[in-house]
Amino acid sequence: MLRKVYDFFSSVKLAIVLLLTLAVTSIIGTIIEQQQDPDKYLREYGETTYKIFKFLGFTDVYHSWWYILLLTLLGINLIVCSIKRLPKIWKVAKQPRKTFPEGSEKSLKVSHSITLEGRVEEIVETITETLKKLKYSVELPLQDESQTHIFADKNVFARFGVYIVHLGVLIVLIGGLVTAIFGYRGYMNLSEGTSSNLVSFFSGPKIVELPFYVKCNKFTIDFYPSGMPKAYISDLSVIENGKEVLRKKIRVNDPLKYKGIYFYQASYGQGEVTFHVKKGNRSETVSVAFGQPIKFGEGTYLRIVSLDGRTMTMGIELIQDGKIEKGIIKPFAFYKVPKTDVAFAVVDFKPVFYTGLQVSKDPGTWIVWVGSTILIAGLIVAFFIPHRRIWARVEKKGERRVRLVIGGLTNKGTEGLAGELEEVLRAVKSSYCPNTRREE
Amino acid sequence: MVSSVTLFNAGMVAFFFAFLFYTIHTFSKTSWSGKLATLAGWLGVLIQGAAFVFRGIEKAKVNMVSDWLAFYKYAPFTNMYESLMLFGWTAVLLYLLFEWKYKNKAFGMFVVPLALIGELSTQILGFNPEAQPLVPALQSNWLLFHVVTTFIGYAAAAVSAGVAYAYFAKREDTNKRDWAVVFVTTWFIFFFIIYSAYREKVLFYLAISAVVAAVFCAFLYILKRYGITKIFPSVETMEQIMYQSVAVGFVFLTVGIILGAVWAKYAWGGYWSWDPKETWSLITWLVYAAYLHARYIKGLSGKPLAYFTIIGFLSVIFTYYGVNLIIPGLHSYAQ
Repeated sequence: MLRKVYDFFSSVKLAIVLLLTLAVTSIIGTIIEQQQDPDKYLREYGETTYKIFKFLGFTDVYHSWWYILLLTLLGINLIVCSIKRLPKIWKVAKQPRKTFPEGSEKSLKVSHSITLEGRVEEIVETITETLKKLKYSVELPLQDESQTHIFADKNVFARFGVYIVHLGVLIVLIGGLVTAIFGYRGYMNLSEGTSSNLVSFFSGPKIVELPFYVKCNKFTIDFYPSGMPKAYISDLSVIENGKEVLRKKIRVNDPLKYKGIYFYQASYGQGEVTFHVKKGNRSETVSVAFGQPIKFGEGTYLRIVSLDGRTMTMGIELIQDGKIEKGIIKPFAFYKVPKTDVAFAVVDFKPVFYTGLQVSKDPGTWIVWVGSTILIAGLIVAFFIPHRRIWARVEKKGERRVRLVIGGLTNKGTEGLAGELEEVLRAVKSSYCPNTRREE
Repeated sequence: MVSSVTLFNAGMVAFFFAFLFYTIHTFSKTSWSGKLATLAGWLGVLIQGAAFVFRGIEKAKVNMVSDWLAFYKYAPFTNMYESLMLFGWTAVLLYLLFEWKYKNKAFGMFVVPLALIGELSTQILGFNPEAQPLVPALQSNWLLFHVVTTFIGYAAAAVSAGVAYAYFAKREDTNKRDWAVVFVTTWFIFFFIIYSAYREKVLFYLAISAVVAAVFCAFLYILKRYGITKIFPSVETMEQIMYQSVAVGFVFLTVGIILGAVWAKYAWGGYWSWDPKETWSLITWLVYAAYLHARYIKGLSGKPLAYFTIIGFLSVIFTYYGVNLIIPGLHSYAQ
């Protein structure tokens, strides 16, 4: 049973099936828009289709249980395959047959056999020197009166290229997992002069409270003469314990980073409201941009999401106990926030621009970068660096007569190996072969 | 100053002559025509190479920067016109390098017109050839490296698919199923390219693409029927070329995707957002990964491997055209 499971996971066929299944199922998420509001799906597809989509996970393919299962299977497949094949490759790489007995040249891809005039030691010396010049490591595994064997090896690490690639892929997958578990992405809308520590998730009621505040000092848009936007620039300050600890002008492609959290220039919009908040007998005035929540108590937030200019009413979202409740309010009227002793009124509206910041925390990023680097290095080794081996046998055939049999193996592209063998032959022929005679 | 568009056009003329001489060379087997073909190919590559430099300078101007280093920051690969030029240019360059390595000019007749069609399609499909200023999202140091590596990957995929089609014309045992694959895949490739530009009259463009694909199949069939494929390299060499160009393509595609991820990290807040373009590049990557593993299955004939390279290219075409124009996303730089 265990054997069967092991064999199943160690097959290349499984890898191909998994890769292709992932490829095909990934298409779904590019056809159906992902992670949208249920309302949007209901409008576009109708209720039955939406229920089927929801059941199959088609509204969030890349986080669905079966997609993650496929990735996990691929990961296991990768590990088991490597474990199974590694000992074999290790043996090929580290314990090769170094001697070169009569007849074994027949199993080599390229081989030559020539007769030379000279002493065995001199010829062995020349071959060794030439091979060393070609960056081979050279050994003499057998030496007796009648013959000497030479074994040369180059780039043996290239045999492990595939494993380096697999390791890289595995690390990238782990990085993705870390991102999915410990990372988040949300947004923050700040009009000039306002600050906040609340990050809203793109969908759903989740709100993260940062241990510091971000303030927008200035937001500008530069234009080309044609009217096309050239740059969006937000001048931001990080405020921790009431003190400014960092200030930076961010733009698209140039975010602000503080304590592992990145703030990106992502969008902009229009609208700022001023709240008058009464808490018991204390009261204060706070301004926030549209879409940015304001905190009324533990787990209780409120944000303005729309403005109806005709009726002068505002759409709100009250977030309480992890649920969103939508509603409509009028300006200058006081409203009591349920389950709290807070009452609020909107006392002012200004159509000023606000900057839309994307906020993200992603501890998996560095793992992914490390994995990617290993992956690329592995690919270069696996595809472009050939492992080459050369064996030679120098046989004594007379006082100054010697027969040389030389040949080699490589795991990719025999032309390169053939070229190097030619070079060795040229070196010995030029010194020990006055009448260039060659058998075969 | 000469405008980059003029130079691109001049390069296309050179490619046209290259195509002409490669065809003459294939049928007449004269050495002068082969030499002229290669010469015209390199001339085109040289002229269009200069065109890219001019383009970079023009782009720096419309972006209102005088710094000459701006050339690399305002890389000329940011709209459909420029990226198709880059595609054609890289495909021809890559082909010429393979020709030089394998000393075989048989594929010039296939690859050069493919590149030329890509470049000419900018005019037929009405993409704006003017140098345009960059939107803020594209103003990044990563742009050049991301786009160039990705396009070398695309061009390598094109070369391997071109060889795969020639491979079916060459093989003795090409059967009905193989011809069906050749027909259907070319049909889809042409359809994506044409439809993505007009986005209307689906049936009409399906019909047109079917006719083009049929002509292409007939062309391959004629090559096979009249023994012209004899001048192609051996079946084994063609498999080797397919593999090598996929290997090059796979490495560059991987680097391109990773550089894209690095860029995304600094521009959009995360290395991976499952944006349609990202997803399709991953799909392409997965298909080629499957191909590379399929090579290790013992007893698998060369045909399924050739299918894989064609499907990989189909996926490239969809990543490049389909996603740009049909599905909205961060990479819709065409409009």
